[in-house]
Amino acid sequence: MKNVFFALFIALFFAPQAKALTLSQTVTFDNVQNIYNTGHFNDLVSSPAFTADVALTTCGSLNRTLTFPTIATSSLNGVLTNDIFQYKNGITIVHATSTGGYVKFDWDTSGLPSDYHIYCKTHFIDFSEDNYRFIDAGSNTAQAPGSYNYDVHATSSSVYFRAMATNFVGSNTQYFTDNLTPSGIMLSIEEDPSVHNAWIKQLSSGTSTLNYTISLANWHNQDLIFYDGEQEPEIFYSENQITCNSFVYVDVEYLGYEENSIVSWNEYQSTPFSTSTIGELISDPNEFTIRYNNLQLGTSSQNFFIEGGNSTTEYTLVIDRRDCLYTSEAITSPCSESNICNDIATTTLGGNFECALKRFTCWAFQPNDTSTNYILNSVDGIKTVPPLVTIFEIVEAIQEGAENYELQNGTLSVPMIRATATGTEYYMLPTLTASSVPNMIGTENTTLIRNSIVWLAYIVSILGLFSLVYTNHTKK
Amino acid sequence: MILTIIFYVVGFLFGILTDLLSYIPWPQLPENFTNGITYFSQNVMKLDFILPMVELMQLFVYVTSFLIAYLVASITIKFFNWLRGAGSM
Repeated sequence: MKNVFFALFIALFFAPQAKALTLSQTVTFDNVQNIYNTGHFNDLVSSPAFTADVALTTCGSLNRTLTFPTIATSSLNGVLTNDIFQYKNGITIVHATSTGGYVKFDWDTSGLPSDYHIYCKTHFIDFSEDNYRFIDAGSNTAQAPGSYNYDVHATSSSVYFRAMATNFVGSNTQYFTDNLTPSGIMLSIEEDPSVHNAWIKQLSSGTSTLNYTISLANWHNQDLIFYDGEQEPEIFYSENQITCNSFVYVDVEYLGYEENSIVSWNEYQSTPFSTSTIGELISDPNEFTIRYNNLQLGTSSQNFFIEGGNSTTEYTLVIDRRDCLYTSEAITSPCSESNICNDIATTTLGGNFECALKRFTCWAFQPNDTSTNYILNSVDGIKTVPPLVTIFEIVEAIQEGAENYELQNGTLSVPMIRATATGTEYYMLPTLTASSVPNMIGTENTTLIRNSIVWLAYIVSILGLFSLVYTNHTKK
Repeated sequence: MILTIIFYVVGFLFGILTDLLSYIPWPQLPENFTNGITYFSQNVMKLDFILPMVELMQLFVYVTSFLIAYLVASITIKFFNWLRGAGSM
């Protein structure tokens, strides 16, 4: 009997792991969050089109100083990718209220080569209007290496900061960006290194048109990682568990040498911009922004092309995907350090016992990630060997069929008349479509039946089936 | 800690089982057959506008996965008990 219970436990644990169809779950955060991409920095500096000879190996420290270290030529590997939180600490929200506040940036560029300059810009984003706006552009002037402080007033609920280091030789440009929300929770997405080059593109001499596709994707379908103020991963969700109301915008930095070059934006296979929007976009060729609203994570893409002016016009196109807004409800692990005794009065003896019990339970029954991955890999191995491989192949085939079908557009048809006089194909007469039942009994009733009564019918059918099998079995 | 140890042990046993089963020659399902199943399930999904087929399919997959996991766990535990001399195959 013990074995049965143990096997039952194991089966209950693994059955969800082995699920073939993704169960979607919508979560809602209390506060509007930014999507954050840790691979972004590495994208840009490793792009072959931008063989920058500047590397930023560390960025800031806990003293909220953003430091550009001394840079060795042609050392570009993996810079900044994992230094994100150090970098985040380079920004301090000194005061943020609903009516205003200011953000202070401290950084030190003493390590940069003398011929490099820092362009920095602050964007303040008010997500409450499902939009963003530049409340204060900050400084957008080339700065020689040194230490700078910027105090900028803002009324936004979130702040977006970007700076750029360049020596203006060729296209040696680096962008490094950061998002920070007052609540301190950040969202991270890894991406496919093979698409790194897609995020930055240069229109240089002789180039007139550039087709571009923006897609916001969790390329490896990795879990989204939420970080709390302690910079510890708190929650893990798969991509499909996030409902994303996002927008992506494109910054075009005009780095050319002719100030009055003609630039135009056009939509290509996408929702067209209005004339006024286009006019606004081309009003300042030095820098303009294009927005895409409601670009969904993982699935949506937009195409456009930019028409550069004459042969000396040069643009750097930066697509920033990280302003993807999520409204979701934070669900934190009960065993996380910040939650485990959060609601317990540990000043009392009973509270201490309760806390100790919770800690012991978490210690004893929360497996570590390594062991979980180990056993899940073992289960994956089991799926590949006979005879289970057969079952999983069938499940996979079912999953493929189920997921590739566009739901809610079904039509049931019956053969009506022959398509040809002698052929065996028939014209199909549609008899029941997705709108048939709602037309007859109304949408509410259809939903009611579909979501409740049909399940009763399922249960009755299954019970009847079991009853039939069981009865026949016992008669023998 | 307890679950951690259990996972390591069971994962190890699963690995042994995988190695042993991999010696069995087993034909792959014909592609026509799997395509047929895909086509069939795709068409069954047409009923989703009135019958919750997606959820039913999820239920089916879950139950199937549970049965598979239960079977494998049972065999593994039996094997483990047989190894330690406390059971029979």
